[in-house]
Amino acid sequence: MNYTADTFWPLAIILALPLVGAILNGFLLDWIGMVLGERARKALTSRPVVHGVAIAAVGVSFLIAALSIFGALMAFAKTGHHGEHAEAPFFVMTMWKWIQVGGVDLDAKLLLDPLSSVMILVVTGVSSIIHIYSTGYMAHDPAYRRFFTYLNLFVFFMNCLVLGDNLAVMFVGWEGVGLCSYLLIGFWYDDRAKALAGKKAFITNRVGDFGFILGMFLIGTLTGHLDFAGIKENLGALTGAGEISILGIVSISTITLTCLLLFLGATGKSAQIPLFVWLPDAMAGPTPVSALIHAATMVTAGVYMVARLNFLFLASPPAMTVVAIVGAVTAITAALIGFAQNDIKKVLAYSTVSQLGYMFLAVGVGAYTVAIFHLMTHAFFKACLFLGSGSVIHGMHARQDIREMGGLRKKMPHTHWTFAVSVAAISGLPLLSGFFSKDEILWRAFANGNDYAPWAPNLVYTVGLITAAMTAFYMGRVYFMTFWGKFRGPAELWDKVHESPYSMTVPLMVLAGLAVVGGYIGTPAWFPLPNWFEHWLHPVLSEVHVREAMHHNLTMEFGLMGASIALAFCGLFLGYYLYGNGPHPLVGKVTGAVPWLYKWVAGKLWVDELYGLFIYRPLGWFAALCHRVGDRFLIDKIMVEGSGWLASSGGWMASKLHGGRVQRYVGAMALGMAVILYFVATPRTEVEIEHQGNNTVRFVAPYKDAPYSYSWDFDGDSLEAKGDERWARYEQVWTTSSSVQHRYPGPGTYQVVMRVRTPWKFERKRVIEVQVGGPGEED
Amino acid sequence: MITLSHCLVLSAVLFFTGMTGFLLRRNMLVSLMCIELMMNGAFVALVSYNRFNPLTQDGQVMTLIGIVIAAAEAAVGLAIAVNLYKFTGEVRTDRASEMKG
Amino acid sequence: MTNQLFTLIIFYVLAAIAVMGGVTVILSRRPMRCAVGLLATLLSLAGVYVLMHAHLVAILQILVYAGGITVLFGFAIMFLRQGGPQRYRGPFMPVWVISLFTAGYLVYLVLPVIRAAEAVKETVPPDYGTIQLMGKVLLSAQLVPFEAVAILLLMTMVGVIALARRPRKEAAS
Repeated sequence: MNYTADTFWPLAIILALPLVGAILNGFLLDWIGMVLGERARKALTSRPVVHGVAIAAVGVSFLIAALSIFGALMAFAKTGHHGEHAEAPFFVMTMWKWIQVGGVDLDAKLLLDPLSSVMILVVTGVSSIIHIYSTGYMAHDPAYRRFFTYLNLFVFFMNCLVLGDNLAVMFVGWEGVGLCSYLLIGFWYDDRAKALAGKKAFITNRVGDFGFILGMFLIGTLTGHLDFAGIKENLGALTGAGEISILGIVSISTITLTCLLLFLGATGKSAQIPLFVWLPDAMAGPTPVSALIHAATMVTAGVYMVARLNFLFLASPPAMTVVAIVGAVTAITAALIGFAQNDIKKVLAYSTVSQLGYMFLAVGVGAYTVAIFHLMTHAFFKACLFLGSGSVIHGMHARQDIREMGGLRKKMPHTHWTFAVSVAAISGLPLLSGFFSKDEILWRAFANGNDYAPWAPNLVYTVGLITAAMTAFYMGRVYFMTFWGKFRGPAELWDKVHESPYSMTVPLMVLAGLAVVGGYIGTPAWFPLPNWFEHWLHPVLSEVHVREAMHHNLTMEFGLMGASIALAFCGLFLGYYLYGNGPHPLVGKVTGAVPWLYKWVAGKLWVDELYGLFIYRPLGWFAALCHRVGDRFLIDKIMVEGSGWLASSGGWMASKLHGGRVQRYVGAMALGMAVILYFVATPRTEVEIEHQGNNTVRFVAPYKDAPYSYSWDFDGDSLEAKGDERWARYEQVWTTSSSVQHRYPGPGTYQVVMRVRTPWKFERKRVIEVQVGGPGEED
Repeated sequence: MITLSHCLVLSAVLFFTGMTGFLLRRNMLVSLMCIELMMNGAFVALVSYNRFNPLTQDGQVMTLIGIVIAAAEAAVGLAIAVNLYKFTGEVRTDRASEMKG
Repeated sequence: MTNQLFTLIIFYVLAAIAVMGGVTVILSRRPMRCAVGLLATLLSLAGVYVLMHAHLVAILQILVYAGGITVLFGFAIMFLRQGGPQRYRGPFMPVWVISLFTAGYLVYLVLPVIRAAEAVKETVPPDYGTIQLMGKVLLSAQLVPFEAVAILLLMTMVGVIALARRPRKEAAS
């Protein structure tokens, strides 16, 4: 049975529906209302219509995606279980020919394969839930319509990114989600700090996009393809392309450079070191945005891109090692910073960075399936956590500092238990979704081989394990600070704290439920359930296989699992001990003992300051230099004012010519006439010299049709030719033929006198030196 | 015997005499006369070329039409001179420089 | 032979009168003398045309040029009170030099062309330049320029009337 289809049109609908929603909400309904009258306009832009359109767009998109994938799944289930070589369901939709220039042949083409189907379900599903949640959270915001427009637009671009069949379509989505992220972070743009945060996110992402574009160019130039299948087929062109020297300092193989450039793009979008600084600031946006874009979907685009190009990265072990190490270091760094943050959303943001680090760790060790699995489970519990924090902020009347919270479990029971479940899941408590995915990552980090750097697996495993404990600790800290102990905020606020409406709590429950059960589709080998997830993704994701010694080594696997479970419990217990009843005095003692360390951690390791010092400032100086020299001087002074000056002074001079005196005009005309007549009357003396060999030279005058006559004195003796020389008959005799040849008695340099005459006996003379019979001349 | 060269020399001398006069004289009436001189130089060339290539009548026809055009031009030019005189009290071409750039 | 020599002498005389007339035009300080010089040139050119067997052109040269245009010039000179000697304020030195140099250089460039024309022979058909033949040509092969010139004359008439008309009172004020 063949699952492929060339024009699977539902894909286009999945892609386009959110765009339709954005257009309707963005301006079309407003315009229609304007045509129909003020009452209709009010009705069409009212809140129920706005969120109805937005939710319907995303929800129907989700339903169509789910139905398509369900159909594929049913067909897959019939064949898929039987062996390794199960055929992948594979739907494509070629929408139109996009770019056809020279050797480039790009289609606007969509692809639904197992990998993108997982992503599209997560994206549209979580989006639907968050859209519903937003109706409650944003209920009092005056820019309600704008918010949903942006949100729908974001889903459109995210679909574009996920469904794109080639890097170019993916890049459109990639840039589009960056744009929407910018728009939504700076959603409350009248707050300068928030607008700046949006700008920071956008600019930081641009740095990464630069890498993405360069990597894309390298791939396109070398393989001639941008679609994933084409790249995979022509991978040899990249692996065999040799080394590229960067400024003559470092020499790096082309495939590794390509992977690292693409990974730079991924670090920008997915907030990894060195480009992670934007994500914590991105929390300036509304909380649903943080949940959707900055936790569940957009920031995972980098992981998705690397997984999508798994064959490319697998071809470059050095790049894989870099990815794994960057992921691990990011994970532990972000967790460390998370210790000392007091803003509930900031903690979650650093937690997101840390979890993304886990995902990169997984793709770096070659466990792509597990990375995507963690991406999915993380989308559930982190969205739930963010929405829970949003619910708390909503209930606390826009207060985000956990030092002012405490004891909220009595006031907000639904928010509390969903948050608790998600904290348990992210900490990796057994049998919850986070447990399965995170533990599998750690196991694969430990067990996968790395021929390029044998020390790497142990390193990333150790870092990952420590990070797991740290995760449990800081998540416990947030949880206990928020929901346990006594209320530490202003007393009058306590009475106003309230549970959120159902439009907000129901999505929380759904996500909490998914956070619990979401892990059971991808259980490890020892678990009684089959690993559906891996079966499903196996046809499209290549894997680095587990080392031989670790294969089916259950003892080792259980041992490692026990260690991580124990560490998770320890972390949570420590969190409870230190923060379960308000901050324990011990906390103050510890931070007081090493104040510089605390300041360093609380100050986000001063990464922003370092960037400011080493990148922003020099860039500023350079920009000032460019401004002074390039803009002010070269462009403004010399080019703009200079061209103006040139034109006006030229005009002044020309106006002096136009004195209004007819005589001078006629004089100028006469001068021009004289020049033209000179050229007409003067014969041209250009001549081409062709060596014919055998001491024979041919002279060809190029003006064949001109009524000239020529006279040649081939040896410059001003004498008539001596009779019998065969070619000498032209000497001193006027001929109308424009080409003559002459045979010289022997090699040497001769002076040729050429005379050209017009019919009216206007004559010019030219003396030419001719080299006859040089060393290079053969007969 | 008159050759074409004789006529052409006459033509060239008349033409360049007219041109020199036009370049040097400021009186508008004299300028117009110089233009007539130049035109006549051209007519002499036309007629004599036609004379030494007598199978067509084109040179003479061209001359006839040229004479008519010269008449029209003189009429318009003198009308302009009259108007110039009304405005400036003179007919000097260097006074008529209102259209300078 | 004597006939040809006689013709050549007449040509030289006519050409001399024409050139002298032209020199008078550009050098005389009295516009009226300029006009007379122009008249001499035109009349002698009519003679040259006769020598060239272009009888119709010669007649029209006398009628239109000598009879019409020169009289027009004379009227204009008298009407504008330009008959007396003009204060001759020639252009300053460089213009003189440039003008004469340009003219001389142009002659230098053109002379070879004239020299090249020596070899042309003269054989004239019997009806060359007769009014009959010219009339035929003008009304058949050259009809379009002939009619175009008629339109041009009409336009000139209208234009000259518009130029010479006394301005209306409101336009004048």
